[in-house]
Amino acid sequence: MQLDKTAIEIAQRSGVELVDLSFIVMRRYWRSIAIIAILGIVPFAIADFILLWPLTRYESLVMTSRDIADVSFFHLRYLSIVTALILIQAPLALCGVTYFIGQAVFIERPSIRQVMSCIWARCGAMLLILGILRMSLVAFIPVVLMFRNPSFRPEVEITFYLFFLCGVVVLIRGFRPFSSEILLLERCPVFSSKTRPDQLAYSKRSRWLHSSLSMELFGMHLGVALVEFLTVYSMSMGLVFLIGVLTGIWRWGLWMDLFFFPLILWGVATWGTVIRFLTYMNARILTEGWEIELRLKAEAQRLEEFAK
Amino acid sequence: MNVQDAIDLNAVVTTPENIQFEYRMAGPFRRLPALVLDFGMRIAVFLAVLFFITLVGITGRGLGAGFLFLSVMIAWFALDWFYGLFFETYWNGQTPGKWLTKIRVISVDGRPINAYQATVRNFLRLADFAPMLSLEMFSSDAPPMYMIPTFLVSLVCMILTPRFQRLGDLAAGTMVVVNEHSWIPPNIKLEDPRVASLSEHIPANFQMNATLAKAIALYAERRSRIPVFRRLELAAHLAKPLLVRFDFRDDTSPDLLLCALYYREFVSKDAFTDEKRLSLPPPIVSNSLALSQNGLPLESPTEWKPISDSASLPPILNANAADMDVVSVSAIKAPI
Repeated sequence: MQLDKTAIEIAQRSGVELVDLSFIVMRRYWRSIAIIAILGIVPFAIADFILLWPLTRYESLVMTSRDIADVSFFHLRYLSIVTALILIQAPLALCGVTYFIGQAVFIERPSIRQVMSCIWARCGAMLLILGILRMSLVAFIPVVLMFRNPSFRPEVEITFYLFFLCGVVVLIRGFRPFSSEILLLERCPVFSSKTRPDQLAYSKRSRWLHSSLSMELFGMHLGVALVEFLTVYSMSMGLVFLIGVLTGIWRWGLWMDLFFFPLILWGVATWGTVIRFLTYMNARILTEGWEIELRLKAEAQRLEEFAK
Repeated sequence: MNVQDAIDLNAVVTTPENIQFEYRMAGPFRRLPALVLDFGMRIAVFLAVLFFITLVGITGRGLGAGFLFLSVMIAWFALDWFYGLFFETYWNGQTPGKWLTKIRVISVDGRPINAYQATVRNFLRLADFAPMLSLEMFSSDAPPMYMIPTFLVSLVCMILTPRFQRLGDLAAGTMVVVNEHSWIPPNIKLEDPRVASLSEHIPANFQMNATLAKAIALYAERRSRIPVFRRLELAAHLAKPLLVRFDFRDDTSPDLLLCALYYREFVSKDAFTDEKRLSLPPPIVSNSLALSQNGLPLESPTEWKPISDSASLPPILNANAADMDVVSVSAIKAPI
């Protein structure tokens, strides 16, 4: 492996450049990224579809509701919940994409089997950190409650779901976004090991990587969220237009709710994963001089080969 | 795959004179602020014109409401369709928004754009905004006016083209590039006197190749912003084989060695004349280049020892080596 010959040019970049660069990365690896993303997304998408199905029966919800008589309220409620759910689940569902790009940077395009075996080997750590602590799996609890009783209950939806789950996740992810990269690419153990004292534990590594850049990372997180919102808007409205042209129905229908809108959200989440990886590279360049390390290591390799 | 194929935002443009330039491409989200700024400016100018026309309409005699309306519509039409065209033609591919965000439109062959290209790319802007949504989508009481852009066509088009070209760019043969001046590596003054001293002992026959020089220059430029312990860790990667090759003591600071290499290659007078470099006295290394047991540089300048003398000092890879102040000064010689 020639460390300074990478598939993505290792250089310091601005936030906007990272977003633009992500398009080129997506274009080059679109087939592999799509397959790996679909494999990760499908289980979550099926579970979401089944659990959120009762929330899309707007007319019956209006009829059973005592206070709310507006269908659009329940429509907006469904859209908010599905958006928040996919936002929370995305890091766990798309960890394969993170691993794939991490390897592809060094021109070692891994096969799908290799990606899956790596994720399987790290699944304990991933489930603990991303599933429980970062709440990708915990997010199912309020959805199951809503599935059992789909009528509007502010204490579940607004207090627990919106403020607690989403708020906490957005804050944690804003200040410490690179948990997937630390667990999958750097393979840091969750707990420190006495047998391998040289290996940093997850929490220590996370603190070291994020602490010096926390405000920049949070700013980047907000910026990327805005960009993703604009893209979701653009794609959703464009699709409504396309469906209108093809079918003559110029409305945001049930197909859009159940199929196309989650599809767009998952697509944008996949793109967001690529942006996050590029931001991770940038963070390592800024804090650790990663590009210098790669170049110096490569030169050292050449000198040693020359000496032999 | 070679380095040139690495994914980056750079595009190589070959001019008709067969000269190659490298430009940094502006993608959709680099261009978005310019679009918003230009829209804001158009609105501001339009409001100013509207204010003026209304003032004339109120105070003037014989100017009917119809003429007022017509004037406003003409003003909006002119601003909407000719703002970009005018500025890009007469301002070398820039509008005020592009100027503020430091981007520029150029031809795909690297030449400045002409009036025809500016016209084509600006007239196709409406197609790039498509599909437009009706106001009815958001309120049933609103008129059926298709005036809310989704930008989907331009977004898809830019993602699919290697130079981030929208429909208008493809039709006009143009692209948008970043107008910032290319990165000029800062020249670095290494104030620690030990750097110059050590650089003299680097074997005269050691010549750096381009990639090694680039790596050393990058390290010297960035080292001041990296914590000391990490700096030592980084420098040690390259310093290990170099220490063996130069037959230097193991406890020579890796950071110092790389700085000395930088100094010899880019800063010292010898960097310009190979003859001088060849006439240096035989190499000796002072202990002040090494580190003491507690990781700090030895203070006594009297302890001079030949390079072959292996003093019993600890290896310094994890030691807290003394930091050197690095100050950017005016150019002596550009590194690369």
